[in-house]
Amino acid sequence: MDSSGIVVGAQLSELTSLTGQVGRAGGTLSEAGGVLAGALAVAGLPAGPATTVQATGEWALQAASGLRRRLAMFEQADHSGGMPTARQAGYGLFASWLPGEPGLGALLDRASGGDKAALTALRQRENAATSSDLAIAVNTWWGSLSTAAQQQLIKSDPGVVGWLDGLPTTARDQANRIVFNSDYAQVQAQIAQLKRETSGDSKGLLGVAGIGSLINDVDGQGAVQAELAHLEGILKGMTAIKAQLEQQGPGDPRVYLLGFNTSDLGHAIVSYGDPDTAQNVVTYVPGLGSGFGSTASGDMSRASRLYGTAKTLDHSASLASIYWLGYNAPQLDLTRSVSALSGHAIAEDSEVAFEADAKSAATSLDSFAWGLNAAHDPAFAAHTVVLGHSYGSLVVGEAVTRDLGQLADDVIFVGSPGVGVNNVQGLHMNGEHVWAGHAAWDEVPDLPPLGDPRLPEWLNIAGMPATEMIGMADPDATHFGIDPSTGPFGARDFQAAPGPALPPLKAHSSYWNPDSVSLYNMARIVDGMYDQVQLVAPQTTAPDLSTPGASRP
Amino acid sequence: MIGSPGQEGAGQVIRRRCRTGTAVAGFLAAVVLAGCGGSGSVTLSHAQAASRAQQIVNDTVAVLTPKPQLRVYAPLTGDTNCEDSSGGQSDLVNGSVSYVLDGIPASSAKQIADQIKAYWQKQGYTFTVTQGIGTDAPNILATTKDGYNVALQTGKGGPMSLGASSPCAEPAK
Repeated sequence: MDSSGIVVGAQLSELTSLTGQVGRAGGTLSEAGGVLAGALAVAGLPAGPATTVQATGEWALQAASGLRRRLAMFEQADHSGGMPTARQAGYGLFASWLPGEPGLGALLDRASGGDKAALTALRQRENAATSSDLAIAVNTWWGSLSTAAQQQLIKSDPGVVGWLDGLPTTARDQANRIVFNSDYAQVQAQIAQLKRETSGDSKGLLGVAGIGSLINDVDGQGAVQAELAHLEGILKGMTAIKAQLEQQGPGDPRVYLLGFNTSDLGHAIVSYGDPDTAQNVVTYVPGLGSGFGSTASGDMSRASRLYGTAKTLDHSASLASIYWLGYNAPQLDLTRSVSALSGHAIAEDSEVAFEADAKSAATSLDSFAWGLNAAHDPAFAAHTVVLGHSYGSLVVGEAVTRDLGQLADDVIFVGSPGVGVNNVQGLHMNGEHVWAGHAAWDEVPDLPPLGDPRLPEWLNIAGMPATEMIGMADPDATHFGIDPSTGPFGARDFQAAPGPALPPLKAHSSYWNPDSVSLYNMARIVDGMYDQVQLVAPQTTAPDLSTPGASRP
Repeated sequence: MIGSPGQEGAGQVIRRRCRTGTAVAGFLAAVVLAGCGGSGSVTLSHAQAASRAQQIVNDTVAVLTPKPQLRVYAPLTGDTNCEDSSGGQSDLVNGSVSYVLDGIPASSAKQIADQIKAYWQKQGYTFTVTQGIGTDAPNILATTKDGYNVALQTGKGGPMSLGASSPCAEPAK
């Protein structure tokens, strides 16, 4: 609403006046219905018309009450500097009723009072991502709370509030920093404690140096060492995140922590720039092996580098570049796998498991993206870009296919082993806005399917001799669909530098190299500078996969 | 809220496997982000990398007419983890510099691009992209003989930027 009191083409004062008239008319009609009922009775006529008039009056009274609530919402939004969207107004109109979300209103009411179980249930509903409107409902609910109530929820249950999709960025950031600071101190303390325990023998069990560790090993002290290593990995990732949260060089954007916990291998969502106000918002989903202990530093570098490059190409557009590790990226515990399972079992199980993991991650990504959309400044829509690398491209593909395709303006896949479907039609997106990059020396998009006789040679190229896998699997099997950078997929294949040929897989990590063509291309897509994206000329012949390496750049 | 212990980070596993050269478990291990064994031969120091990147920019600007003013505008494009090492997870960095070229009228964009292209060609750089040469929105990417990426880019609305980035270097102490 502007200073003249105009809201979406209507005058607030006029609406208030009209609502009053509806209420007064309702009262008058109710009274008239009563009078009419008496008159009809005296005349010995049926009472039906009087009942109708009375019912109409009562309906008008109820409608006036609802209209007053909605007007109050407009006024509140105006006072807080925001402007309700049509969807938010719809939420005001229909309260918290959403198809497929029974009992949401009651749940939100309980959550308002700080009911931890209700907050957790709300988060679980979001994780299921059954309705893209849920984030709108959550956003509107949050906006309806007083500042004091919001602060109470943030401080009493930051671990859940920080992950609620649809909440404003500032609220999530505040909650997650509380969790982060608490966990940081706790992890440090735990490490110190474990180190004291494992070095306790220095004073000597039975006074003999070293015998303690010997006995400890016998007692399974290896588990303690494993926990220590795990915690040190977590601390390493947290230290990297801490550095990002604290950095604020000249011209640097503010960094927001949109999600954080140390469960499993750790989860973190870090945004360079405020996605609630940004014109361009890109969410990067890292791939296999990601966990903030092991990869957060490098993965955040990618998001920050994309931010800097996109801003260099478009100074004026506001931007948020997000690192999204909001899921359990599959890990390959190779040592354990080799000893425990045959190559065949691993090959088959891993593929099934990975696809299941991707589907699970896709719902979280869907919910997150719709949450950003719900929390965004309603004055304009963000240009929404989703970027998946490696296995992360499968997660993005699954999310886009599932629901995210309705929201994303552009989707980027790099170094993809497949995105779950074999063409852009499967993604339900316009192929003009599906982009794929493939560094020529990146082996991952070219990996032949299981059972393909070329596979062992490729694995050897990648330094992975696995001849035992020849012919073990279904020869018709594919990975997760065809490489999206190939012509039949229908995406726009953009240029990427070939990358280094050796050592194996280095090219797979080359897409964010500074001043590289792939990084500039991704930045231009983020900026909507489509005409200047460097595309690969369409191939006229099928690539020769029979001699890996030999036919490359 | 502290997570349960257990799995080792995949990056650690992969690095160890690469050192030992043992066989991989599943073919999808190839999807692992990291390359292996990349950082052992790094001898470039951060100071050398930054100095050389700056020198490339300075030498390039020296041949330009009209002479631009170099303005730092590159949030978050400073030293970052080097992707050419173990998948971006190492402590190595790229030394990078990036400047907006102020004082270049749009009518001179073509001239500037021609001069830069000619100079880089003379230096023996390998061109990756030469786009928009002859227009007011040129984009040139190249690699120097010693592995630095160099870029002349035209942003939205016409501002040109000039950048140079080093190969992997040891981080500043």
